[in-house]
Amino acid sequence: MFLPSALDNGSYFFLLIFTQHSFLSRVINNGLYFCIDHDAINIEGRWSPIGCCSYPSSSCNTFCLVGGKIVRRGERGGPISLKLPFEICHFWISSRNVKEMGKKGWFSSVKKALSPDSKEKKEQRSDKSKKKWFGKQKYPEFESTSYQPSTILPPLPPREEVKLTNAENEQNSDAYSVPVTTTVSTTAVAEPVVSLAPPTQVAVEVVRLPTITHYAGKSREEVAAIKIQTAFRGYLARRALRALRGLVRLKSLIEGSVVKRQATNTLRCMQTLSRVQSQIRSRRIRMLEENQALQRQLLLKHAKELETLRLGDEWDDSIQSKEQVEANLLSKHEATMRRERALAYAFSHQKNGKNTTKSVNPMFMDPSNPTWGWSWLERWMAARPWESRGMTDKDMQDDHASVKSASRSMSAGEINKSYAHYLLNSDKQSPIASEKPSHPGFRSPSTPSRPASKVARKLKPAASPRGSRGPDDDTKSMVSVQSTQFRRHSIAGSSVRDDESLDSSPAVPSYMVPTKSARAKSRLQSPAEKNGITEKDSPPESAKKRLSFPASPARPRRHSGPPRVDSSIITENKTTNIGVTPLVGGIAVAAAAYAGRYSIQAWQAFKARPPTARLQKFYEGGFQSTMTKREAALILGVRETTPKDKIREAHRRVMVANHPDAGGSHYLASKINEAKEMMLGRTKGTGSAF
Amino acid sequence: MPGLVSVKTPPDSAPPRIAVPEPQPQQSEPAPVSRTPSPHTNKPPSPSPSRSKPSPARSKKPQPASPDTILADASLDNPDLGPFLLKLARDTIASGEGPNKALEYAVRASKSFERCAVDGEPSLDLAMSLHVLAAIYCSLGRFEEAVPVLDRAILVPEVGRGADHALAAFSGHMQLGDTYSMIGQVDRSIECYEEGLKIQIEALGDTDLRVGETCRYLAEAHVQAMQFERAEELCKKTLEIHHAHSEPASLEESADRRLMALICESKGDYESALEQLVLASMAMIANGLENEVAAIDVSIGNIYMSLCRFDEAVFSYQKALTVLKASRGDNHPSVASVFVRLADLYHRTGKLRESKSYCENALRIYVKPVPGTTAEEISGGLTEISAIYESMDEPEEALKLLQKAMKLLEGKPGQQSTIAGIEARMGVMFCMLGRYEEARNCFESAVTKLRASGEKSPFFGVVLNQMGLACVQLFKIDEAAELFEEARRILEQECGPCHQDSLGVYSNLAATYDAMGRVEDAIEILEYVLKLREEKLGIANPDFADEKRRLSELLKEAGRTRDRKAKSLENLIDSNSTSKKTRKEGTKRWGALSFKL
Repeated sequence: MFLPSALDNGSYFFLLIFTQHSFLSRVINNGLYFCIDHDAINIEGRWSPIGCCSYPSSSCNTFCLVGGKIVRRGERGGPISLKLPFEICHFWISSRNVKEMGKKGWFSSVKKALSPDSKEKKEQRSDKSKKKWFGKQKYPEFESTSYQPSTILPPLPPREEVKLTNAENEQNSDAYSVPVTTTVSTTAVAEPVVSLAPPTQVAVEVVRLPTITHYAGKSREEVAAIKIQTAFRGYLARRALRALRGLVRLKSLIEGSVVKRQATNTLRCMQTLSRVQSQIRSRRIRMLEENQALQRQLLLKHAKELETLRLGDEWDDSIQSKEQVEANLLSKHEATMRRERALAYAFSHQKNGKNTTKSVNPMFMDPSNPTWGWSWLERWMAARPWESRGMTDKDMQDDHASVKSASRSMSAGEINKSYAHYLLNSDKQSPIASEKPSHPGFRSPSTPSRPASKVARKLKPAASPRGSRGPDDDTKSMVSVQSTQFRRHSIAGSSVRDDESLDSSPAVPSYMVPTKSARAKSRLQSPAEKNGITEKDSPPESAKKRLSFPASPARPRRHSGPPRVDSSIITENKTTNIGVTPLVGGIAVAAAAYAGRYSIQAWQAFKARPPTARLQKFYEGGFQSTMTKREAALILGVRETTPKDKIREAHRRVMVANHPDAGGSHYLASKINEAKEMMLGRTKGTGSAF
Repeated sequence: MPGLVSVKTPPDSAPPRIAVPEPQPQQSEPAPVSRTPSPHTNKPPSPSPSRSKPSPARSKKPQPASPDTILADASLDNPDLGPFLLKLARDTIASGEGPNKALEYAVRASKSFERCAVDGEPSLDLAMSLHVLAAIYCSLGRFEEAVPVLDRAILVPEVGRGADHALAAFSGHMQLGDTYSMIGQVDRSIECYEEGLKIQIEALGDTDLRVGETCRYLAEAHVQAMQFERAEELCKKTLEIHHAHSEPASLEESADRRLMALICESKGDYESALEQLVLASMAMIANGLENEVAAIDVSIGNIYMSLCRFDEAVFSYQKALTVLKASRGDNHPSVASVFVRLADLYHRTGKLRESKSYCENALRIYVKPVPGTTAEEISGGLTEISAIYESMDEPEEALKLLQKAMKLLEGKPGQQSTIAGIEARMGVMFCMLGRYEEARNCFESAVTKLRASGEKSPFFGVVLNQMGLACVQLFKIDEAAELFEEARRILEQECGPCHQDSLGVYSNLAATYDAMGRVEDAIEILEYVLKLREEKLGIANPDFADEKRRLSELLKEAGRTRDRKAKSLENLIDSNSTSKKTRKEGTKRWGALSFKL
């Protein structure tokens, strides 16, 4: 088939192809490639098949629209014939770069062109007459017949008939050929896209009528068939053209501002989406951390309530001795602590997860989400009446039951604990964890708590009135010793954590926590002689530890640690010992239990304290009614054991700074003098100087 | 539960700590064998050397080859075996032998419970063991297998039988919901949560604190699924519950308020969001939680920015920045996130250089994250920065950041919708760059993910529309038409036909039908849109003229004229100004007259 020679570089055209071959669409989709006989042209751009026609019994079932711009064309000029790599039925080519063609005019022209009657006559005329058809538009039409091999060079010997339908194939004769099978018509598409095309008008000069057709010798039926056929083709062509114009319109819309706006809108939506997602996630993580602390309180409170309830319930019917009741209480307390520690584990796991930038997926059933799920199950198990009863008094009559219940409560409730344990163990692999003294048996023998717990274990059977259960108790406490060994670490971590989430002012990055506690522990190993040093060389740390120390200071005093441990050391001891407390409690069973229960209140009280309170050792302000030696030393800023000349020197220094002549207070001056006297041993505290 | 054991833990990587003696005393603890005719005489395997090897074939069923397993199977009828097996599972995990053995034990435990269950009596133990089993599956990352287990578990308890059963049922539903959300099926997970909430309300009453917790969780889930209406409802309920239980300005309440603010902000109701945030902030200040106050300040800044009150926004951000820098260090991701917000703000106020430098600062922090930063945090930050680059017209840079963020999130469970959001944005970027094929691929994968999550939000419609546009660019008209149709359906349902997005889809669809040759359909749609605009939305929109022109072209082509009389503002004014007489005269030729007058 032919393209008009005037289709030059840069001109646009569309090609409408009817075919019965399904692979045509495939070929076109993969890129239409035109083989040109005389000339080489490259065609840029491609359009996909746009529809099917439903002509019954037609072999022509697909029409495709391809189009584009001729990028390069050879120099020979002249008409081009295209060789397509597939068999086609019909081409209908429209070169689009001609403007001004009105729609109606164009349609009528197409109609005319397609109507066999007019064609029949006019085809036999010259070019001139052709121009007349398109009078106003002045765009001649190009018609050609395409044959199945579809490479036809002009002038075309009309040898074959285009196979349109099988029926019509029968009517093939050499003398006859369907005139309008391929129409190359230059049209304008009144669309903005036209403006994209170069405005050069292409006047198609070469109009070839490849065949001279006539109906001579045809029957009326044949003529009718031809008419129908051409009419149908005309319909198809119109439809395709409409689709083509629709496509052009669609293109223009796509490139318009509306679509740009839609794109930005999509972007905004997606940004919102991701922001909302990340906010919810961070929120859940935060809630998790907050809840951790709240939940600890809640659990403790819960346990306390339970215990008091229990106490009230069993007060009269119990045949147990007071010690037994208390031992029960203790074991329950221990259970609470254990539960609490499960949370701590979960939490420390979470921190570890963060350290290694693992993913954290806060979920409702997450064990570290204390509201429900595992902790809930655990609480449920703990609160089930038959079970706790079995824990407390039935275990004396029915060992079997107690075993059962114990194992049951373990199974559900503590499985997460064991996960935590597992994770703690696996911490070893992580570099940060490796420097933690957290492993059982790694450091704990050297900590002071170990002997204490051993003592506790030894003492426990003695404290228990039932000697027969001695071995059992022994194993139990052994178990708890073992568990406390690894618990210790995580409690240290979690207490620090605690103040982070409660105060939510973590001055130390979270990953520092384990190493800090490690340092604290290593310091602890040489407790007595280093007291002063620790106090001096790490004031910010001790302050930090202070914050992390939630329990009442009354507790460690029970601990038989080194005498006069200063407060920061107490804190450390506390953090290490809190896990062992129940066993230390073997010595002072009830006291420990109650202290444990009230530690929350102490924590609250501690929180309420002003921050200055942390420097207990320093003078808090105001004078005592009777001056003591300690106060005097404080006033002068010396130690109580300072030699006398140093005291005099210090007195002078302080006096100079506070002298009434230099604007100081008389009262202060008198106090300073009194302090000097006191330090020098001259007076014994006379009360006020006034 | 899946949070506990990392999903990535290779199942066979059990540390070789078999010889650790600690399980021994723990096992002797519940088994005073000597005293009772205990069931444990024929107890299942203790971690003897032969068993403690992780079995190569991780089958769910215990291997029949092992003799003591057969023994165990025979003794599954023993009522005490279940609890013991569960304990064994716990010990296995605790001793670090990997969750696979624990899984085996848990499977057998649930079997044992099942056999021992009295007929007709729902066994809570069975439910519990199933929950444990599911949790172990989850911790192994085998979420799909956990689902059927949980499905069974929630059938066991009968809610009417008291609190314990209700609790078990609730627990099961929530766990199932979590599992669904982990595999990205958000709608089903929300269904499960709703069911759980219903059970809990039945069991505990309407105003219990725990109900409040669940409500809040559910509200968060709804927000994640972009279903703001229901989320708001639930959040209000939570607020009421917390209001009834705790004193005003409690921490819970402020947490609720922050959620509420998030919901309001997402819905575009900035004023009430601001109100909620200020209330929350006051509560936090009263409690002395500086970091929280700073976080709220950032949110307040966001809202000020949305309200175009830039000076106040800057003030809020700077305040938060100071606190965060002091408390968390200069390189904490939270500091970086404030940088990003500031960059956004400066970009909006036209100070491009400041904006750029803030972006780079934030990027520096994210590129070298301090330890303890989660991948999610980093990827979230990166996407935020990329949003700024997007608006700065640097799509390549934005694309790079998005790809990085994607890489961080890949393979994480429960992140499907986030990833889908990122992919959709990448698709838009590709579109802007003209790389339509890649854009289409991105959109396709995003749409698949969103579809799997059962997403029905307008966001999904918007993404579909965008994908359709990419398809049009590739001349895949049929596919585009399908996408536009689906987008239209969703947007009509979610936003109503008058929403800007719906109108956009209408016009796209009309053009697509036009290109397919379905002119009648196209005309119908365009007429509908024009009618909407004329009757409801006003014709001041520049789109109106464009659509009108398109319609007239189509009509001309179809050889028809628009029979509807134009009710433009112009007309109405004219008709008022002209006398009745002219109106009467002109009624028949109204369309023609209206333009002449």
